[in-house]
Amino acid sequence: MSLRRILYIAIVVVCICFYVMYKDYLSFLTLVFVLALPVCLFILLVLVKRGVRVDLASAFTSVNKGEEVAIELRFDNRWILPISRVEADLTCFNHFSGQQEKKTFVLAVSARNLTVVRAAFFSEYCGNLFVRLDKVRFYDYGGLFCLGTKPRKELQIAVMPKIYPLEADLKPDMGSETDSDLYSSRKSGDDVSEVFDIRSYHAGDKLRSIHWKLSSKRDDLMVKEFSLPLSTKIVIVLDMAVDSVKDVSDFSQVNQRVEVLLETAISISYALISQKIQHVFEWYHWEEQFFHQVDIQSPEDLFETMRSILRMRAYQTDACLQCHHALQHQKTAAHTYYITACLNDEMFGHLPSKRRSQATSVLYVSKEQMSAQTEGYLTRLEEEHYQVVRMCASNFEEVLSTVDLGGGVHG
Amino acid sequence: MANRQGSGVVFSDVVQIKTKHNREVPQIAEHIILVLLGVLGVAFSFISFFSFAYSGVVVTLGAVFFSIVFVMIFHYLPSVKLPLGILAGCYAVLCILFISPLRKGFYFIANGVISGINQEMQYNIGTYDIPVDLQNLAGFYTTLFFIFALFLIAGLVSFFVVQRTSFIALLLVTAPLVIVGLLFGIVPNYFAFIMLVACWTGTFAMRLSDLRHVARTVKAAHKSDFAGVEGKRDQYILSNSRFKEETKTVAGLILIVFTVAIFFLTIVLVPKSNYQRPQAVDDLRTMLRTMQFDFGEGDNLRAMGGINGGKLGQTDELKFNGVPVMEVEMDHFEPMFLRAYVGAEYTGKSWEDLPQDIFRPYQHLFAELIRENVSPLFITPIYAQLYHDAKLNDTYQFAVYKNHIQLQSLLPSSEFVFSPYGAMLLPQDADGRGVGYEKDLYIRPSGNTVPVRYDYHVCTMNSIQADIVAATCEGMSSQWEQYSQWEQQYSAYVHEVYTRLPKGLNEIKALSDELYREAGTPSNYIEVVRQYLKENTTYTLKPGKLPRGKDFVDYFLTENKQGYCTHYASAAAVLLRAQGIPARYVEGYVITQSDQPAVEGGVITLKDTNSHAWVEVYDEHYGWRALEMTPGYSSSQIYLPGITDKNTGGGTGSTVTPPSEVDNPGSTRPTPDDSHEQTEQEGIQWEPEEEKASGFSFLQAMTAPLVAVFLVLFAFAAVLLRRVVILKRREQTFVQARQQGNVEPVYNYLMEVFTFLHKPLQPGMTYLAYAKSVEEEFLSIRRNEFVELMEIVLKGSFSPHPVTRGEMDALLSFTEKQVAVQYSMLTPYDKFLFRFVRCLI
Repeated sequence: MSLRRILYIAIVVVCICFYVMYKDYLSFLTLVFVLALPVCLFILLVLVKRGVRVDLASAFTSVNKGEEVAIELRFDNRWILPISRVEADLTCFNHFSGQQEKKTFVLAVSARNLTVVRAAFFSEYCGNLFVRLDKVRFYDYGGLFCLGTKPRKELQIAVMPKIYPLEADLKPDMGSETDSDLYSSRKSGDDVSEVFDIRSYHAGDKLRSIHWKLSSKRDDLMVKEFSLPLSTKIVIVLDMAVDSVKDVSDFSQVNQRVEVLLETAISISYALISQKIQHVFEWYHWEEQFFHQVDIQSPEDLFETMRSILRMRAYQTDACLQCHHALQHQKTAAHTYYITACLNDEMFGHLPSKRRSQATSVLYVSKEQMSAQTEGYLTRLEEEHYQVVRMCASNFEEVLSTVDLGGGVHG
Repeated sequence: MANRQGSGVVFSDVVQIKTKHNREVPQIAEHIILVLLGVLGVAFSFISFFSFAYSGVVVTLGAVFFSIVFVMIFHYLPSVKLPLGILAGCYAVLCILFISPLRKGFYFIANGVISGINQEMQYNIGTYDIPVDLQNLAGFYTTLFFIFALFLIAGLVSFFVVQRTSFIALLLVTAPLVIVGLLFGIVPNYFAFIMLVACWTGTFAMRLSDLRHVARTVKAAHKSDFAGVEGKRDQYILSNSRFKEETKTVAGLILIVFTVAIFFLTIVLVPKSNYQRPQAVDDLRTMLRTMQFDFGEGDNLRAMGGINGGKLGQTDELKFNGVPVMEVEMDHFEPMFLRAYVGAEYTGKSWEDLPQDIFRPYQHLFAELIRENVSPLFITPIYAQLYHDAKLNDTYQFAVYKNHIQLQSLLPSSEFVFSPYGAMLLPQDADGRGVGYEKDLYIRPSGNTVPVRYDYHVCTMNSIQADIVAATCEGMSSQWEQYSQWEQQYSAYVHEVYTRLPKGLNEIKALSDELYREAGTPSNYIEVVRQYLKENTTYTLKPGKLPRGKDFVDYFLTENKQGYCTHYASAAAVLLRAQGIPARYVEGYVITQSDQPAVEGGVITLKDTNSHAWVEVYDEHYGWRALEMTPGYSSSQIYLPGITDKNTGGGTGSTVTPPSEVDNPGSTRPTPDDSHEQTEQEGIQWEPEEEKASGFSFLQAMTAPLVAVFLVLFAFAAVLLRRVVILKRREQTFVQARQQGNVEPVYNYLMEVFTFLHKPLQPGMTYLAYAKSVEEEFLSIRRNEFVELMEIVLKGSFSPHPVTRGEMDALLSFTEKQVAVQYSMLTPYDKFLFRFVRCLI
């Protein structure tokens, strides 16, 4: 458009010169024409623009990573004239990775007609995608003017992380331990500190389990069922912290590592839930500054957890102290999976005691080239009998499918 | 194929556009309208610039016919090569058959163009001599030539509008034919120009609305797109083929309608008769022209004695070449002035029109005069008519002398209409259209630029007779009061306006005071000024140009003291104004006794040597009368209405006094060269004259650069045309190759590209070894990428198994990508060779 405006200005200058230097009436006519034409075109553009309704639609609300998403830009032109050029700016913002992609569509809009632009995209990274129709620009027939409008149309599409199958058998030992703070959701037990359910009295129930106060209120015998503490409390601690991001060009590598972290955690969780192993998923929401702990008892729980994680920004640039503290307090867990991409000296102060070191797996997602310092940390962990799993973006699928992550669980 | 931007979101390059309804659009109608507007516009714009004898009906019909034929061919035929070839063949055969009349037509047209340029630019370019007996057939030959030219123009315009929708190319084809006239100061026919502008704007809108990538992508669905680097352009696939035409067609039509409507409304709201240029614009124009002159732009100008429109001092030498400019017929011969341009405002460098702000308070007076069919130029006839109507002629023993004068201009497109003094009514041009007054200065033509014939009925009286008539008519009728009132108002206006001088000029004012003291009275002062000029200056045609920053009259009277009629007329007008005597500078033609035809009522042919400049002064009851101030042009040479000074008594009456001799022998008006005259009479030759007038040197000097420019343009056009043909052919070949699984054209193309990149297939080298060496040479090719594609080529060439569509696509995609990448890495020179010489992209 700039070129056309420059061209128009040049034409105006030529016509002004023509007008000044030629006394003939034609020079006046030409100048008036050159000056009046853009005014007419602009008025027409204003009228045409008012007659167009723009919409954004998609049949998808959730897709898997790498799956194609089709979207439609609809231009309903109720005017009798078409629009020769329309540009629509679309922005795809991935809230999880914090990155966005802009795309401009160029089209013509037919008169008294519905013009639909169908485009498709896929996301290489998971996250909540906000597809926004930022701006629509309408051009006049001379290409001199452009009127923009902000339709404020937005779609939200969740791109779910990929879940990789784990070959290892993670079947837990269901023995009871008193110091567990995780109870079975299916069976009642004898731990009086936690009530599992309250129900009517059945013959054979122990007297000490009768809830007398409630029975007197209801005028019926009610029985308390106590919870069954689980000795195999399994905890997945997802530490989303990655090394400091130096520059923008590093984003893709950071995203890949964050995704490996997330997909590893999700895959382990899914493997556990597939084997009906109830567990706890913990992560730190650094935007909310809140440490989340969610009991995962079903795939639906895992799905909701995923959506919650995707709602936050993917990473922080400093080591996550909250995650380290969480590790320190995993005294009752039969096994802890600590999934991280950030190791430092401070972490060693928060790791579970050496007594429980064998019940802790540290899954470290490194860069393609691991630094000597990181290697030193991992070696130290191994010396302290922690199970250390090294993985990076290029090999984590293979590692997940081959490595034995269940040892600690059995133990 | 996808756009990978690193943000994780990858958009597909394929974008589908579909519409709910699939509508028919009148595209053929628009194409015909556009092409007709273009062809007719450019043809009649060009024709209107110059003086051509031609048949307008035949030219119009030819333009319409050719336009429709070409539009039909380009619009409907899937392949235009054969019909265009047939047409070109027929055209060539007809050209050969009609070569002789076409040559004659060319000579006529060339003469028209050259004459026009000579007239407007005051050049002296020689023309072709054409036998007199062929002059009557000028219309036939010219029309025939136009028809042949229109065939080419219609073909090109149709091609660029219908086939290519290329605004720039259309402009390149049509604009030069309009610019050629404008550059020489000639204005085209309004209607034709508007048609051409409508064609331009319509095509421009179509071009803008033609989303090129959309159009290209439709093709891309069938072939690989070589226009850009992979991933930089989306492929838009349209669900219906008419969709992309709809916006183009409607946008084009809207722009055509807008163009015509804007011009129409402007003409209706500000008609030409009411159009007044702002004074500021005129001042700006004067300033620019002065600057242009000051920067030496006019150094090489050589006036040929035509009408300059008040330009002063721009020529160092006045030249005449004897070009016939006008034919005059009059019932009774009498020497006279034919006035054209009248300068109202002296600027020191030129005479200009009247400033609008000065004129505005009196505008109503002129409007009233025109409404009452009274010429604001000449007051005399209104009393004369009154006198004549009262039949008082016998009482005062003299008759109001009337003459019927017809002027036939031989030159096209003049800014001014020549008129004799005392003309009673505004003339009409040959087509019956009215001409207009430019204030009270001169008459301007209607805009018809072909030579026209004007009829005048002239009332000739001297100023004494005018006084008698005015006094006699006083109170005799109701009209007298009206006339008297007009005259009083006009007199006040004249004394206010035509005594203005620029600031400064102190020496001139001192001189005029001195001369006035010597004269004593205004009427004597005129004679004293004339005498002063005669005695203190020298007439010459080579006064030299005006030095930068000097006042024209000041320089003439105080320093240079030599000049020709323009100098004398300007100096006299300024000296008269300095003493408050209303005076104006006039340019036009003078008819002297020597121009009298052998037979009474015969045709007088005026040449450029008849051009002249003189002074007008205002007399009460009479109006403007001409004053001859140039030495060598005795007042007695010419019958000058009102020239006799009232104070000195006597008058020339209707008696014409022949010039006895020129006052100043050294200032004799130049006459056409004898040998030249002879040549004109004898000249029946069909080759351009080798030595005709002084224009030969100009023509000779301009020939080489013009030929060079033409050759360069021709070469450029040829290169572009060749490129278009090669790319088009390759495009078609690739589409066929893709459909048939034929790898050979793509392979040949790749080899051509790599050969250009200095990596040819060496003799004895196997194909796969060559592919590996290419991969090593060019980093943009991935390892084994070209080897795999070479295997596809080998499979397509030697294997009985056909190449699959996917393999062809891969090959085409690789070719497209590599060509674009390699092109982007070339040097500018190599890029030029790659694109325009080898046409590889």
